[in-house]
Amino acid sequence: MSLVRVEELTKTFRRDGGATVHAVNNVSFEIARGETLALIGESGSGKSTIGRMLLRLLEADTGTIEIDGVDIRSLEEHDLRSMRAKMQIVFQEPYESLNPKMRIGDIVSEPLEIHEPNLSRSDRRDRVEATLEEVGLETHHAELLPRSLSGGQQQRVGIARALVTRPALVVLDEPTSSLDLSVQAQILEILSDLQQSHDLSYLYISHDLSTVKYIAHRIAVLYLGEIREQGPLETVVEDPQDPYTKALLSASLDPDPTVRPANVRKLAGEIPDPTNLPEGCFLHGRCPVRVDACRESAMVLREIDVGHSVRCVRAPVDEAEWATDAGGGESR
Amino acid sequence: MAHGPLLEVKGITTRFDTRHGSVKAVNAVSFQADRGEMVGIVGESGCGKSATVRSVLGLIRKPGRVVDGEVLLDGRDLLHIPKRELRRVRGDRIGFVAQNPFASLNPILKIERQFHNVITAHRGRSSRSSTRPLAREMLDAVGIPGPDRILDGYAHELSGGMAQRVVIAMALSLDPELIIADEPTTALDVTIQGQILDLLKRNSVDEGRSLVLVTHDLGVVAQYCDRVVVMYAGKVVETGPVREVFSRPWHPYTLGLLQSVPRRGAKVKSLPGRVPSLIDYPVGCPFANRCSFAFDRCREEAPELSPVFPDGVTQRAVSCHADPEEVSASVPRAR
Repeated sequence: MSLVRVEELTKTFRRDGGATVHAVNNVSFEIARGETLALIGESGSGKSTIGRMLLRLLEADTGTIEIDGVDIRSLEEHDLRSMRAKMQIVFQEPYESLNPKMRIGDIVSEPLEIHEPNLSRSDRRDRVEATLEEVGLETHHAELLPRSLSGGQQQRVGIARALVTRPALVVLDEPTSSLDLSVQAQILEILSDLQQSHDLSYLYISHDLSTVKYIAHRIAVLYLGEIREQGPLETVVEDPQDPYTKALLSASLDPDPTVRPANVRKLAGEIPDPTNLPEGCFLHGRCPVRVDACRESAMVLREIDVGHSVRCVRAPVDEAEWATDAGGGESR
Repeated sequence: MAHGPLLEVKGITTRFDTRHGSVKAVNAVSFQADRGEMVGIVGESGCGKSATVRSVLGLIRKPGRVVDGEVLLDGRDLLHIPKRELRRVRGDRIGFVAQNPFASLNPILKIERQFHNVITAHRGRSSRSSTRPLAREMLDAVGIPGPDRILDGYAHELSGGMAQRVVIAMALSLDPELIIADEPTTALDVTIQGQILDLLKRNSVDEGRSLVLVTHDLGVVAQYCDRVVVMYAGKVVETGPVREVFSRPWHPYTLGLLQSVPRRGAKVKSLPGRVPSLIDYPVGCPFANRCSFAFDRCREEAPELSPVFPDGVTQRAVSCHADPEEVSASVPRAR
């Protein structure tokens, strides 16, 4: 059974001036135990909003969220608090997510004080030290303030704080995007080791395909708050079916200069305003393979293979039909 | 047309004097850019890549100062010409595109007015009606549909991608020979990044201009640049044609960067330790404390950036005491 089950999740925000931002639109997915689902998308795709709704750091408008069989949205404050030990989050900006006046040891110990108040002082200290060690920090780091650590070490503290209550689910909200490449690698390594040793489920939120390829088991591609394509990592990366997925994959530049993308797929123009969602398929204004139907009716996510769903009505698109000059997208 | 590279940077050294000491941000950096060539300066945060191009452009502000070196544009040293003349060169002959387009645009002037100001500052007084067609043409060249609407609007009405196009169009309106772009797509979404890099390339190197691109993204360098300059702790550690440097890195730091790229099915290798202090700069090689190839000499004597001509074909240079062939033997191959 899945650890996480999300159905038909929707969220709107009111912007200053009254316009309604349609941030998340009917999003459904599941995450199994020990599995990483990557939510990938550009800014405004709704990926962080979904992560926050999952933990009820933000209230959804409609939809269902079940974690370990518990209906998260209907929980009262007291029950929600005890549930929080099982579901944690690691933020993008490690320094900003740590209290600058607290020592590292206290930062990591705080969730234990809340969730396991009966733990003796020495047991608590043992747990904190063991967790610091698991993320590659040393005991003496516990005495330091966040600012004396490097960015990578700060993010390790963020991970330790999330892990200390032994959660089943961790939302990773762009955990490496503010870090340098060489440091990013360390964090990815730690995250995948921890997943194996604790059978953790991750919701990995990112705009960066290279880290997703490394850490995810399954991918959901988001565009304007909607899932465009969802499926196993291999399938989606090797054989993407939605034009948006194709463009996103093609936009991720390979660091090997001898590898030139076989098919450069570019979209015209920019992401539309989420206060004024396009009629029909959300992508049609930018899409090089659109047909009349795309402009007229909204598209549904349909399963084209076991566990692989696509929104594009034209999928599978014949590669030859992709207009190569779309959006002024000349070849590299 | 003059011979030799369009831009030649020789031994640029820049310091920032702070109350904690002198920060050695740029240390004897040398590189060059030929006409029609795209050069990528790559490195992690704090490696001095932005400080290097700002030194080249004469944009270092106090407490920073360029203490040594030469910046030759077509053989003429820009570091020792009067400020007024430098301002003219900047714009006329060198265009600059920064990371944040909104910091380059004036929030309270219409876009047309800003084009007008840029053009008249360098080309002499003329009427708005005579600068508008050029502005329109430039916006068209950077793929902006309906340029008139943009010209009559303000910066805040633009998306990040559009604003960056406008900044590039302004730089191009003076027809510079060299464009320096400092992380021009870092703040943009990935599907927009490709559009901006394409148009930068199309309007620079494809037109015989030179483009110097500062980036932290190895993918951008691999897919767009001809030559790469790898920086670490304010120094150039390795430089050469992108294909050669990326397939056979000779500096252990370049190797480490390439190994840090997450690859499916392979374990990422991370670099241990951290960058040394730029105030108490190490005596030997700045990378020695993180380097698995380091030996005693590395900790005592800083290696010079020395040109190497493998098979006499292309120009490469590396700053390392270790055997380059041994370093490149560890390169990750499988994907």
